[in-house]
Amino acid sequence: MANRAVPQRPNGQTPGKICQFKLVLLGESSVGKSSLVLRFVKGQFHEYQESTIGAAFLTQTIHLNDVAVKFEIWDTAGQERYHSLAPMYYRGAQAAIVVYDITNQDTFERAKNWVKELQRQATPGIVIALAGNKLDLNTMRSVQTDESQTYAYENGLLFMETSAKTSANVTEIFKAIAEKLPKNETTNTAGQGRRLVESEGANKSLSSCCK
Amino acid sequence: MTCNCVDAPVPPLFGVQTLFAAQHTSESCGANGLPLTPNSITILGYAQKLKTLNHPNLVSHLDFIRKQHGRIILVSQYFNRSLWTESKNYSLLIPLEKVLSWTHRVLSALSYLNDNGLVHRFLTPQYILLDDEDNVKLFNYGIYYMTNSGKNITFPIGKLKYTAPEVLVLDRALNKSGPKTDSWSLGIIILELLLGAQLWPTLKLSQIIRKILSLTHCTDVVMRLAREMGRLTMYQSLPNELKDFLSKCICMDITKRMCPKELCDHKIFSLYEYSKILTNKCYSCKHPLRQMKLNQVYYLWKLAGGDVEWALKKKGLLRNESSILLIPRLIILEGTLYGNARNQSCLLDLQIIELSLDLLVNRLQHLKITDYDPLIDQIKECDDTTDKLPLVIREKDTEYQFHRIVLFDRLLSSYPFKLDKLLIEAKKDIPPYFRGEIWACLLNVCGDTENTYLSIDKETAGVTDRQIEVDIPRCHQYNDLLSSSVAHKKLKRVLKAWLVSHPKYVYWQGLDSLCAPFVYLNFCKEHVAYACLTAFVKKYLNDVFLRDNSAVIREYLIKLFHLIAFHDPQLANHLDDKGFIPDLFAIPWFLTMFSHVFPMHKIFHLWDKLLLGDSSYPLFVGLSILSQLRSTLLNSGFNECILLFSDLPEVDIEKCVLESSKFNDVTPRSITFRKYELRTETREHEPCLIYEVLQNEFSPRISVYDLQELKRSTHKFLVVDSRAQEYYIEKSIPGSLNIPIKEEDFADENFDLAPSPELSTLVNNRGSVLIVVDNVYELNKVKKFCRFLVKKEYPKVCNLHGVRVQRARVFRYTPTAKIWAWTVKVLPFVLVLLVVFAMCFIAVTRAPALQKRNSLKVNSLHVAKLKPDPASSAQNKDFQLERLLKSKPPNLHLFVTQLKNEANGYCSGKLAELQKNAEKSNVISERLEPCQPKPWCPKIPPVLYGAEKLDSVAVNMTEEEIVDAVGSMGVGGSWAPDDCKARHSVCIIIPYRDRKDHLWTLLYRLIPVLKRQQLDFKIFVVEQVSNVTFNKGAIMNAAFLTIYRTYGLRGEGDWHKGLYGCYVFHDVDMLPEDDRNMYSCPEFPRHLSVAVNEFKYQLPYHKLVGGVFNIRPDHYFLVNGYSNLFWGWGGEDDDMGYRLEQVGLPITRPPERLARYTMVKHVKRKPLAHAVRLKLVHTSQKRYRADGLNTLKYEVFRVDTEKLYTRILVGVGDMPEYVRSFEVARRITTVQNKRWK
Repeated sequence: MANRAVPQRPNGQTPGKICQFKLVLLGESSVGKSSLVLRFVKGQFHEYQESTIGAAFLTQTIHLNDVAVKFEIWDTAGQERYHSLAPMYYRGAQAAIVVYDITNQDTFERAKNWVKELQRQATPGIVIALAGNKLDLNTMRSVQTDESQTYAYENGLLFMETSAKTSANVTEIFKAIAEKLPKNETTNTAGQGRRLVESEGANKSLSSCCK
Repeated sequence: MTCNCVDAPVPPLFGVQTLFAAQHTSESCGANGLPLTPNSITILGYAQKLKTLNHPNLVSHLDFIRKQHGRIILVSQYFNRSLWTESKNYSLLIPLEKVLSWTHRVLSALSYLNDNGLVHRFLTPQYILLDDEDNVKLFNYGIYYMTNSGKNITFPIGKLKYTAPEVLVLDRALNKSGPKTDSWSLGIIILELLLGAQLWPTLKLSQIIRKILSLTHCTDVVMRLAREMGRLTMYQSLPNELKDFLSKCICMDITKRMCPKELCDHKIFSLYEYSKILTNKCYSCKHPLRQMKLNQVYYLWKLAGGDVEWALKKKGLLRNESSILLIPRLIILEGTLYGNARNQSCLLDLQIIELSLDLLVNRLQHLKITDYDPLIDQIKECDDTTDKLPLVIREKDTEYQFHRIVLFDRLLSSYPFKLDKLLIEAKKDIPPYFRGEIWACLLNVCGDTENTYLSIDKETAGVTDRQIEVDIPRCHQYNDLLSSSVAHKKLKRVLKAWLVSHPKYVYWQGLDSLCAPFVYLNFCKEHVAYACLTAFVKKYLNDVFLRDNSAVIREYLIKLFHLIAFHDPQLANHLDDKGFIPDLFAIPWFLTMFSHVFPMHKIFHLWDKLLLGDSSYPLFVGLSILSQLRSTLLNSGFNECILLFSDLPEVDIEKCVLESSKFNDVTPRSITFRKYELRTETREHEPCLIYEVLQNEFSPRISVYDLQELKRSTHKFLVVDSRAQEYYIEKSIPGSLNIPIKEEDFADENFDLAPSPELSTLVNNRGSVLIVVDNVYELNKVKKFCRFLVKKEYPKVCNLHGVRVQRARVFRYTPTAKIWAWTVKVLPFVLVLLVVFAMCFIAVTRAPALQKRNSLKVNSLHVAKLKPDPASSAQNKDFQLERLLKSKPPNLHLFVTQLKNEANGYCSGKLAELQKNAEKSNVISERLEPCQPKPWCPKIPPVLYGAEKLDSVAVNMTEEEIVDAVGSMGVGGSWAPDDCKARHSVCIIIPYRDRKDHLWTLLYRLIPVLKRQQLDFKIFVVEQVSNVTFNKGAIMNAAFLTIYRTYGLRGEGDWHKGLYGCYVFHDVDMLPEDDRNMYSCPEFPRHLSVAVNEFKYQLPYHKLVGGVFNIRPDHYFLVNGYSNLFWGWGGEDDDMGYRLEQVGLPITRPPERLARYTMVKHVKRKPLAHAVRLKLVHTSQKRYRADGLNTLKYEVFRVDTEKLYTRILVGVGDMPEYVRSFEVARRITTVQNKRWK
């Protein structure tokens, strides 16, 4: 694939403008959030990916035309109980991927709730992508593509069905997000992810996104 | 008498075998999308049970090893003599007595296997081994079980000639072989032995099958076989009993064939005195190694360099095929492979390789005989050379481990008496062989954990089941054992048991990782794993798994940060600068005690030390991990820092452990004090602060107690007094340093201390504990000063906590002064309190008299002229609840603990008695027992009728008719299913007053329902002594306590059943309409009578728990039972609803369409004390600790055993005069009010 959005390590060469975005992954547990990130960042896949507790952080840079887009990815814990921690991670995020498992209808319902919460409470103008993961288990599918496509359309979400195992659509979804994110100097307030504590994060706006 | 000598030879003790598991045909996925577990792992999981079997006539299994391509290697005890070699391939005739003696032992081993749910299925004369003392040892009994009845392998199990005919005929995937297949095999073996000839020695496999199947048509199978062997006359000369025995074994009809347990009691064994056959006692010298447990010898053998695989290779059993031959020739798109079929003949190798122990014997040869059996208090200290070696090397050192194993074997067997010694030794290191047991000791696990564990319901579905199910298949799956399905089930059971027994906690992701090490180490002892988890959470993770745990977790994280600032100011400054707070990386550390962060072998070494430390130890582990990564962290920005933790680099665990204990030693305890930790002792002035306060501080606080401790110790410390000089001169801590400073000074960012002699003292004391003190109102200054010192990279900065006096006096801190200061402060309060008390006392003692006078007055007035008495009615308007409550109720927790002990004590007494009786009548009872242990009843009872329409009038039947109609019942209304083991034991308590026909209607309806639900239940009817006001709550409490204390008033044969899993409080007029409404024990309190015909089959209000209410005893204790204050009908159940809400227990309900009840029609009674009732219900939440089980005064008058129930007659006193008079007075007032209107 002659795709320009080839993932590179953060220390790879970065010509031209660098944009930095905070991206958060949300979704029910064991839908494959960590696997998706791991595939995107390191190109790896583990069948028995351990559950995430609290959150994990990774970065990855992709190149779009002459702009290097650096994602600071927060991979959150899926269990409902960790929900109270989630705002700490999605606050100030410019993008979010809400993941569900195409073989499990419940995870799709949960994904809808996440979308609702993000639309209500996250940064206005946040780019939300809906990812139906585990496309490799297409035979066991219980959430139909049409259904999620319609839902995504109605709510203005990016939508793709992905597979961390076969790596289908993984880079593509990140690339689609990168394209949709505004890359002009003034509007963005990136880097807020550094300050996760409420008292500090709320009123400080740090460096702008693009340098 | 045996003697031991170190130079005696040691014969090989272990044998090795190998087999291949079936392989999945293609890379297919299971229902959860994960790849299928390899069969070899499944086998490994099942095989663990074999290690727990222990019978004198079974060889012990030592190890199961999984290799590539699905190969399994089995290591077990082995002897090179067998029935086959002993009879010289059947050519030698063995005396009848000897054959019988062997047979009986084989049978006893087989019935032991059957009791444990196993069958042998591979019985051949080669696998009946004989040890040096001519004792029978069955071999290879585990293959059928561990391969899940042959499902996980592709080859058939058993030798054809000895295989029972039904095995050949039935589909082996669908039919599990029963115990009787072994009877057949044994029969054939004995027949061959007795007749001294082989059966069909020359026939081909297909011919043998034909022969066996042709036996169907013959009448006397044994005779036919004897004829085929050409020994008919010899057979006919055998004693008749023996022929009968053989015919009971070799019998085509399975129903007529006997199972091993029945054969054990065959009369042939009573006719011959086989047991007197002298066994070949071996009097020669034996090597002391042979006195050790086989497992230990095997473990040491491996350490000494023994390699099972190599032994197999040497004998040619493991051939390395070049891998190119294993590549399939054709793969089609779905992933099915062709052309890589394995050679079928090598799937199971019948050859057994003996393992030579020479290597081990050589390694241990210079040990003295006393080393094998040392005196526990005189064990010499190991040479320092070994002690100083790194842990990894010590763990691999044969001789060192030998000493450790011998030592710990002794210490563990004397636990808990040698706990102090055990602790000292465990501090050195913990030998891996005993890790599981030692951990349990360190966590103080003792008592009957097995029964506690058994009595917990681990099956009922719960809300977090899905989460547990998705988490377990990802938890430590690199470990073969933990990735097997058996391990998954065990892990799930332990987790569920823990959750059910700790209703205040919920499942947080990560709990699975925490539980995994315990399950791994106690694989065959789930109850120990459960007990360890319980103790571990209590000690290190108290309150962490609460529904809302944010305060607990945050406190942990802030404390960690304080500790970093205390020990490594440079790192703290850097992390603070970058905004890299512990919330970002340390949540999984503390939530799972590092078990989610490190692989299993590291957790072992980490927890070895953690378990020896106190509840603050985890903080030091965290600190030492950070200090290992220190240099990287200091050179990194935020993103690099957090990436570093995303995939945690190799952390040297041994170094980490060493460092954390060093940190632990030099840190005053109060610095790590956490508010939420569970502590046995509390000291004065502990810095017990909420996290909002902690969050704003950068350095920890130290307690006055620790300051005094520091004075006594050799640790260097310096008290820095930041007050103005005049205060300092007036009074100060001796030896303290005065650096006067103002809060405003810190406003300037570049502020620095001016050079002075004090400053140089401070600089010279860098490295000692710096304790900042100031006036108490200068807290902000102290905070800023500490922050300043940390910024200047002074280590060990802290401030003094808990000094609450503003003047300088505090700094002279002598005990007498303390007491004086305290007295002066408290005295005024005491005086005021005294006055208040005196007034209360007068009020209380005088009130009843007044009351009486008033009520008498009112009564007489009522009769006489009905004139209101304004004074009395005004006084009566307020019902004083406090008067009904005891001022000092016993502590609920203590009360419950005492009660549980009492119940257990009662039970163990009865059990001992029972055992004594049982020993006497041993023979009879054994014969009565069925062949196989009872299976559990199905989860969903097979025969249920569903909804039935009922009449709401009492049935018109005599008591005798009803007794007949409900069928057979045990003593006092108890019953349990005959053919299976009930999943729940339920106690039904029916409070009863006088509606006899209602009671019998209920019994007529309820008993058949409970029977169909296959429950183990007993019905109690509790009645109050007559002529007093009825108190339903109190008598239900009394019934509960009576039953609980006396262990459910179990009948003679029922003692082993244990306490009831739950108690159902059942109103006498509620008839269940639908038997699908289960009375089984619920996870949380369950209100069963949701839809009652009287209320149009709708739940009147949400908190209702009246009617039929099912609750576990632990929950019942939690709410302190029902209230005792509700005299007259009604109210106590609403009160219960409030109590449940108060303690946070949810009320669960079955669906409305099932939980339907018919209420028997009756004339409603008027509630006696209506006003009081309302008052009580409103105050119930405040009251529950002081009113209930712990304050109940009751007396049991009679316990009668009736045909369908046990009747308990109790007295709980009568309605207090105060309530009665209040009520009467109130009623009069209302009457009067009405009249005036």
